[in-house]
Amino acid sequence: MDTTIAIRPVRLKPRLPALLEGWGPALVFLAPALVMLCLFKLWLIAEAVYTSTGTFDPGGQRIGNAGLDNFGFALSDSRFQWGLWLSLFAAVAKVPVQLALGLAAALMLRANTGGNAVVRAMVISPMFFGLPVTTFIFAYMFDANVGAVNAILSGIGLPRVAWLSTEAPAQMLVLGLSIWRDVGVTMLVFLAGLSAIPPQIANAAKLDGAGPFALFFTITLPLLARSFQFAVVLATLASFQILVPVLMLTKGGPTGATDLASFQIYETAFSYFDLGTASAMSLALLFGLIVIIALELRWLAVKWTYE
Amino acid sequence: MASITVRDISKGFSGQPILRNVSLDIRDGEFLSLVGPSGCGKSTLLRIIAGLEDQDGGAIEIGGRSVDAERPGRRDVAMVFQSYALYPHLSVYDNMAAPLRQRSLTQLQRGFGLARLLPEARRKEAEFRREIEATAAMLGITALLQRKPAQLSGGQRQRVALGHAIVRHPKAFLMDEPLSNLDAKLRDTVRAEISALQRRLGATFLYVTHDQAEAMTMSDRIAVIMEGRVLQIGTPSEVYHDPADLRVARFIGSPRINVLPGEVDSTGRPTLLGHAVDFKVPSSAGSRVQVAFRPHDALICSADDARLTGTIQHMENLGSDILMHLALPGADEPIIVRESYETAARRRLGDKVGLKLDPQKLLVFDEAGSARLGQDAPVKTKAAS
Amino acid sequence: MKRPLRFMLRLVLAALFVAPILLALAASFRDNSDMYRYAGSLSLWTFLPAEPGIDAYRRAFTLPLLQTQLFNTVLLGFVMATGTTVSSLLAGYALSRFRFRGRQALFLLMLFTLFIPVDVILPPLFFVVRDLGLIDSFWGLALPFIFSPIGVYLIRQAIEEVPRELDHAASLDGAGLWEVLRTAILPNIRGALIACWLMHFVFVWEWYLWPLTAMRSDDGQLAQVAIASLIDPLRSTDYALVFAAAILTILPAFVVFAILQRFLTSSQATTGGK
Ligand SMILES: Nc1ncnc2c1ncn2[C@@H]1O[C@H](COP(=O)(O)OP(=O)(O)OP(=O)(O)O)[C@@H](O)[C@H]1O
Ligand SMILES: [Mg+2]
Repeated sequence: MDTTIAIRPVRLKPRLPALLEGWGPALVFLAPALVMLCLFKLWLIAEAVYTSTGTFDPGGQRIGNAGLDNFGFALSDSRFQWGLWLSLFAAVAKVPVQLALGLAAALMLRANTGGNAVVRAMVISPMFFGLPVTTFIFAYMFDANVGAVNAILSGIGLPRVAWLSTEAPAQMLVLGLSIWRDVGVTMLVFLAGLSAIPPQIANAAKLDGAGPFALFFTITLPLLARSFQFAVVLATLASFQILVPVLMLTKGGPTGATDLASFQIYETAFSYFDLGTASAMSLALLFGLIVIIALELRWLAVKWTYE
Repeated sequence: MASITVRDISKGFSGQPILRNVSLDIRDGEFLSLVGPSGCGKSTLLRIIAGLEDQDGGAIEIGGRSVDAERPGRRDVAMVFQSYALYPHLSVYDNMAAPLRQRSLTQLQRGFGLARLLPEARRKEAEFRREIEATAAMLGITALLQRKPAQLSGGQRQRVALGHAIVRHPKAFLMDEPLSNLDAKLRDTVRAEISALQRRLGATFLYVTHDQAEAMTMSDRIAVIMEGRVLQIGTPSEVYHDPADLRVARFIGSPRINVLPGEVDSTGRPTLLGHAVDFKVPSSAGSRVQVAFRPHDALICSADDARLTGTIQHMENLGSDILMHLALPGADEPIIVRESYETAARRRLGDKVGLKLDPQKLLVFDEAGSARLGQDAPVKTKAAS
Repeated sequence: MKRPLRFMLRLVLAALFVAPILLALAASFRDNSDMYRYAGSLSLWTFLPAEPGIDAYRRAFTLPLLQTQLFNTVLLGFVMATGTTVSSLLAGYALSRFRFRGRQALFLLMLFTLFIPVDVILPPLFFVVRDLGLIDSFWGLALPFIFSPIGVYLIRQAIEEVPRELDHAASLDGAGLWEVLRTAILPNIRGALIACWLMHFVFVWEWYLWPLTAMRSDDGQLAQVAIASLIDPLRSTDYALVFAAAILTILPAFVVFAILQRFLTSSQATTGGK
């Protein structure tokens, strides 16, 4: 008989701290988010890069390599250049107006009274209806025939405006819709920033003899720098998401007044089926957006904290 | 109940060593306090013993058995945290039941409330109830069982945290500054209660504290940790009266110990601030030493009667006693002497006084402060060689 | 500032945001002849129905697919809300409590994807989903947005607020990784979980571009997208029908929101500490 005792290695269950170390166990919990992240964000970008270097037949089959031609074509196209300018213009027009309105609303409704709470809820209420329904509402209000806005204009003796078929009014409509909808978010950001300002700081300044204006410009505004940065980035991001009213109402018109880059991307891909160019345009616009946001984050960087 | 052996534990965070070869032996049923300055690694050591943190090197044994491969739940030690760590959403009863349920109910019975209605689970729940009620009675929190932690005072929460630890009869208790969130008065009462509880349970306690009064009054032994090393382990009076290291002497005792640097002259006597003192130290001539004495081991006399003289810089009234702060020329920090109220009443700020030391009570360390030099110890050295 | 002035300012502000909504609500109770006769010129009947009636709602109910499409929207709401909340909870737990190389970088990468708006990246997203064979399917709509950077951020922050000592206490009680999550963390981040769920639920009513692109069949379409096709700005739109249908569409979101929002304020995490 074999007298050697077989020594089986004892399989120990891994212990908790060991489990908290390293990728292995973390992966179990990260898996759902990570899979989706890889599929629909990372692969998405890779797919955009890949399709942007190809040519496609109208059925969506890749039929050849285009190298960087799609980028060259898109960026030298005067219509797309106009679209990029329009998108930039949308950001430049929307961000300051929305910030000013949001800050004004936040300052006005800053005190925690019941009345203010109601008005705050009203200011943020457009967020709950969703962009499509908001667009319906604006389509109705600004309808050339039955719209309340034209009714009021004509009622007080002003000429009626063909909102969707005149250039500047159409642009104002699209931007106004976006601002009306997003002011609430900006207000919430500033309200949070205001409530984070320690009251001692304002009290100390008051004791030093600061009046309300001095208080606002020397204390409140500088201390809101962080909220300011956050609100600017959010508003910029939102200014690149105004395709819905364009697609639903103006269709890029009239005469290209709302022919945003994102609208052209949509058309190129889903009306002209030029997938390569559409992807190149997507990447170009995304790059522009990220550059703008990076610049904002840098210029508006805040270096202090409350202790 | 069980002993805990900590052998050569070392631990660092991101390359920064926190514990360096720490060894401790906690006997079965002993109350051992761990004291040391903030950030010296006391909590880290406790978490390593509990298995909540992995050591970089060394071994932990509980009850003579290595537990290095055991999950925290299997090590069968209970921990009371500084912030009590009660489940805020559970009542006091359920907080105390949590460890019992976790240990003896099946996954199904734990996860689904309905499964608790099954006879098997109900029998166990009845057992738990007996256990919890007994523990609650012992701690005097029977009336609080249905409340949520947020509805309790600090002291009550502290008791619930103790109850949470006690109900499951662990092999040992690890306590991480359990009283630091209580106010001074409550701390005194609860301190006494914990001591009594420990004697009653006959349990092994490893107790971390900042507060040396706590350590002195409650412990069987005290371990002083500094810079990641155990500097001394001993009974409270050993640590106080017979510190092995100047850092221990400085750390233990309030008001702090006085330290004067000296140089040993050719007769083997140290010179303190340029004045020879009449006792010998076992150190070669010319070497430097540090002489330390407690505030109550010195006397203030008239300036003519003493070689060491100074002026009264500050008087700190403690009620029964007064602490006199003397500025001695050449000393870096004021010397603190405790005097009775009656004697001190005669003195005024700025008075020039003399300082008399009791040679018997002086603690002499080498220059680095890391070794004690016994007085008149040439005798000892001879015997040893 | 004087009191009446302050009051007026607030009133104007509130009106600015509520009036258009009320106008739309009123429009849903008109009928077409009423609307086209009165609404174009300024009078009280510009804003209010001259002959209020629920005819538009009746017609909305007879729209051939509206009920199916409404069901699609609501179902998508539940799936999206639950999916994002669960994936964010698990990821937030890992990102807060586990120590692994590149944890911070991964978190930042996740946050960074916030800057990829769907408006900009619609064609490539369409290609990815097409490659997966999911165009024209419910899951093709849902899956791309199950990962939500905002959700991960929200829940990770909430978990960071739960003291680690609570995890430690639970694991000393014998809990494993999942049970630490269940017993020590979940009950303390209920507020954040509900906020996350609710936010992503309501967020589905925001969708337009993606379903327009990725869903071609009418009975798989979302209600708001289908209703949008009723609007034709160049001809006379039946606004009463549009708003009746739109109000029916957002009603479920309001009901769910009304039920859940009171948990938002009431479930504040309080730790067992002081
Ligand atoms: N998870 C960690 N990561 C990095 N460093 C840590 C970690 N935990 C503790 N440390 C560091 O280890 C050192 C020891 O910490 P520990 O909590 O053990 O100190 P302590 O002795 O309990 O202090 P206190 O008396 O203040 O509670 C500290 O310097 C701390 O900064
Ligand atoms: Mg500690």
